[in-house]
Formats: sequence, C-alpha cells, structure tokens
Amino acid sequence: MAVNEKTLRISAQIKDIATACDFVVAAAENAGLDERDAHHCQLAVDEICTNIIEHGYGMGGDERFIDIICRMEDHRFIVQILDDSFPFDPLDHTDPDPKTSLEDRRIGGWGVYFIKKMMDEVTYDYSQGRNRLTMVKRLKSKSELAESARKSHDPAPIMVAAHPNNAYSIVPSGRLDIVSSRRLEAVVVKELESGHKNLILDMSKVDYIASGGLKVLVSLWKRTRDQRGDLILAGLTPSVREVFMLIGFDLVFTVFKSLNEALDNHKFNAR
Amino acid sequence: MLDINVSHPEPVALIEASGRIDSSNANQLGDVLSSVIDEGYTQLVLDLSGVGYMSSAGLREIVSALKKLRRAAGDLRIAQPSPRVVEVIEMSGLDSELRVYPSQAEAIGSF
Repeated sequence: MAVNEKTLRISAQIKDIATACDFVVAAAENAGLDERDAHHCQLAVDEICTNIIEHGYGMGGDERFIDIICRMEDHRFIVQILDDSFPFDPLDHTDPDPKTSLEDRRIGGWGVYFIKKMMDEVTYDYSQGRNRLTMVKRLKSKSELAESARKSHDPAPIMVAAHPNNAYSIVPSGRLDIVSSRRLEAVVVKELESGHKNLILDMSKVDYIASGGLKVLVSLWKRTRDQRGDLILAGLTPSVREVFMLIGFDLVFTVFKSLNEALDNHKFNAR
Repeated sequence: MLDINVSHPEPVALIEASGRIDSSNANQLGDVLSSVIDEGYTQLVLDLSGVGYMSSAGLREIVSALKKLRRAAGDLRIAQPSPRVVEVIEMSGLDSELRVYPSQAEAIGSF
C-alpha cells in the first residue's frame, strides 16, 4: 500500500456521490493536478458511482457501499472505485457517437464515454467478489501546466484593423469553441453593419477549433456573401489546418498563408 | 444544491440555473424544462452562468428537452456556460447542435 493512499467509503446512494466528488477533488489537488484535471477526476468518479448505484444496486443500496481509493504513483494520480454489486464491466460497451444527429442521439450512456475521454487510462477487473475500476490521470509537467494555464485565461479581445482597399482584418485568438465563436460572430456582424465587407479572418492565433466554431465560420461566410461581401481566411495554425482539410473546408474558403499574403494577393469583390 | 428560476422576458422562457447539476438533482432541471414546454413555450433560453459543474445527467435533460422542442419547430439555447460546462458539451459533440451565447441578452435576442 502506498503511503499517500487515501480511502473513502460512501453508502451506495445518489445523495452521497457529492461526498465522493469532494474527496477526489481534494486528493487530486493535493497531488498537484490542476483545476481542469481535478474536474476530470471529479466527473469520472461522479459518472461511475452514478452507474453503479443506478444499475448495479438498482437504486436501493442502503446497506451497500462503494469504496474510493486515491493515490499517487510515479507522477500518476490513480483513482480506484470498488463495489460489490454483480460483476459488470462498464468498459465493455459500444461508445455513443458524438457525431450522431440530435434525433438519433442516445439519451444515456455518455457517462462511461466521458470517463474514457477524460482519463489517461481506465481498466476494469473483478477480484475478491468486487468490481474494481482503475482510472489514471497523468500529472502534467511544469511546462504543460503553464501551457494549460495560458489557455484557460480569459479570452483576449478580438482585434479588428483597417487596411488599404477597404479591407478589414479580424483576429480571434485561443480556442474557437461554441462560446468564443459567438463572440467572433458578433464582431463580424458589427463590421458588416458598418459597411465593411472585405473581411480577412486572421486565424494565426487560434490554436483549437471545435465543431461549433466551424459551424459559425460557415454561417459568417454565407452571411458576408449574401451581403455581397467577401470573407477570407489567413494564417491557419497546423491543428486548425488539419481540421479544415479533413472536412473539406479548404475547398469552401479562400485561405492564404498569412495576413500579409492575403492583403497583397486577394482581389476583393467590393472596393 | 441547485436553484432554478423561470421568467418570461419576451419572446422566450428564460430558465436560470445555479449550483451543481448532477445525478442527484438533474431531474429537477428536467421537470422545469418539461413544464415550461407543456405550458406551450417553444423558445427557451437556459442560462448556466451560475453552474460550475454539470455531469452527463444534466446533459441528458438538455438533450431530451431539445429533441421535444425541435420537433415543435422550437429551440433551446444556452447562455454563458462556464468553461467546465462548455467542455462537457463539446465532449458529447452537442456543440454542433446547441446554440450557445456569451450573454443572456444575446441568447434572448437570437430568437
């Protein structure tokens, strides 16, 4: 047994899961995980305990228990969940597909999928009459911690700059997710309303684009075109370019290597 | 603890949730969404600014409400979710279906 091992026993009731969550967050933070990783551990424990209580114990686990064990081992934060309901491997299931349309989407079954996505390793075994799920979160190095702290900062303002030939560049930065892409949308709409119709989205500071962000880009492109304007892109970072190629966006959008290249070479519709 | 407040700024039903949404209380959110839909509202804004934590149990309620509303040519839109909640929405792939706004006013104004 590792010296830094901590154990909590909760009764198998939904109302007691929050106690397990508090316990794992405290242990994770104590082990040096950042807030995002501690949140992943909390969500993982919440999801698996919910599954065990709802399915394993059929909600009626008054006199049954779940044990939660946390420990650090070689820069790995390890969380184990043990229960004595019938043998059940939660990993032995087809994952739901996040790409399914709303109508065909599975309502349930997302909990275990989240666990697999968030934790670095997940394994199941059955021994001595108990189910045991072992989940590992690798401790980030100092440089990884700094990088993730940088990314979680408040979003930088979206800069707009005027250029010759009535061109305007708009520079989003960081992650283009469902929320920040709406911010970008508001900025672009404002430019269009001001009569600025030659728009260059300078993407050189965007390091991640989510599917919600891609959707907003397409709608902005259409909106600009409908107003007889021209919206082009410049300076895609490698990760964003990869997503663009994958879904064929490089065929829809006019894309330049950099803002300067776009300004020098693109012939805008409206002058 | 989960607090849910419902109001009706034109033209939407606004549901403001605050606290933690997990398997112990997600049904409260589901009940509120269902009753608002049953009252005949089809344009819903769910403000999650006060929600620092949401598990798949919360997502489940949002998806079932969204399915009902879309069938009635309505919609449920999310206002100001925290980064933790955004992460959960993105992980489930719902970010390509759900419309999310950085402020309550923008979410209400989108209808």
